[in-house]
Amino acid sequence: MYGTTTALACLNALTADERNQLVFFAQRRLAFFGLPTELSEDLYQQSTIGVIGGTRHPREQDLASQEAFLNYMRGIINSVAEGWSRRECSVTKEYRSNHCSLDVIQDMVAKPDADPQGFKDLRETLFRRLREEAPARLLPTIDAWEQCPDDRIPCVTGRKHVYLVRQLAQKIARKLEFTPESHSSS
Amino acid sequence: MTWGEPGRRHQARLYWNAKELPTRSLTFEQVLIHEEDTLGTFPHQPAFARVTEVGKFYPFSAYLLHLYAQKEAGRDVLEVLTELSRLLPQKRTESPITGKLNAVLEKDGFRVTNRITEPARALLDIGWVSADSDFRFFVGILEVKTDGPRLKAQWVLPGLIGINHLLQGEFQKRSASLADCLAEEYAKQVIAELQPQKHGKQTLHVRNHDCPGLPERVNS
Repeated sequence: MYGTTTALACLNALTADERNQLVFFAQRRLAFFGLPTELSEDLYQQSTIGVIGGTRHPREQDLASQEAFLNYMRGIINSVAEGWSRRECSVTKEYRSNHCSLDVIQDMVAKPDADPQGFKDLRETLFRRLREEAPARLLPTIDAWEQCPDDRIPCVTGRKHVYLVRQLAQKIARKLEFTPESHSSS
Repeated sequence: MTWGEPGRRHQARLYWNAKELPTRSLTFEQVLIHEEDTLGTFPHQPAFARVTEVGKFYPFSAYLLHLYAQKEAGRDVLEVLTELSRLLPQKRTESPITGKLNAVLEKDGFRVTNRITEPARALLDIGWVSADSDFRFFVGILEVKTDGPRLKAQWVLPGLIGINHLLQGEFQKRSASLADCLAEEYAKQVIAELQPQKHGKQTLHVRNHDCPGLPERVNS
């Protein structure tokens, strides 16, 4: 039966129990991403819109049986929930690290116009402290960052090391009580 | 509240898309503010912006968090939300679960609004309700596990970006630790229901069907 029917027909054939199962699945996926579970009904509806509107294109095997279609719907729900989490949480890291964003470091290393000598000292202090506190595996990344002309942290030994160097630099910046305001006023 | 250049005064107006979001499911994160009504320090976040013909709209919750983070707002956040909740549609009829959190938290309006129980953990949807309104503000998802006779709790990450970060701070101020946030009776019930956390490394053996001559890969 399911091999010849469209996705819309499969959607219409869902029983109330199966629909509830999908809504509960949506609830669990939202909780997994730390999002409010009360949006589960909205998440389910958003997923069905993709099927009804034809923006989702199920394969033949997705419509082969009721169980296959339910699994296909779970995939869509998971996809939409993950998209929501990316959209709604895109700046979480900035706020989670005590509101010390990458801008602090950018200002620290890329604002020489106010006081060139003060800037040079700050930069030297930052890299000296970084080398003192960083484990050996981060040293190639720190060296490359110091040489980098545009002050971006280059990826030498892996993106994880870039992230760790950035975190460490932010920590040092906070210890030095460095803020963009204090730097620009110096 | 108005601000801006003379002749171009901004007003803090709140918007929500009544067509896109039915009122019954309106959450505070779906309340928007127009870009012209934001202060100049608000960072442009393309992922946040709802771009329309009349300009960009941003989640008001994220904007409020920004104001507090930049020290441009300093009022008690619970008082602010109490005032805000009077402006929002009062369509919430289902009552949040009471008696699950400790007395201090419950008294100050924190509630468990939903619970998902799994064999090894419980996921509690924590909300905040003001004294004179039914509108619920999302605080976070609290993951509760048992470690023998004790409870362990932590917020599920990444969570939303918005006022819930401040509410989580208020929540933690009122509880010695996250594990102590539950009412005594409910904590006992959770410990009895949940399986204790398994320690040690879990390994997943993946049989290499394509190359039977090669040893099995072990992902740890």
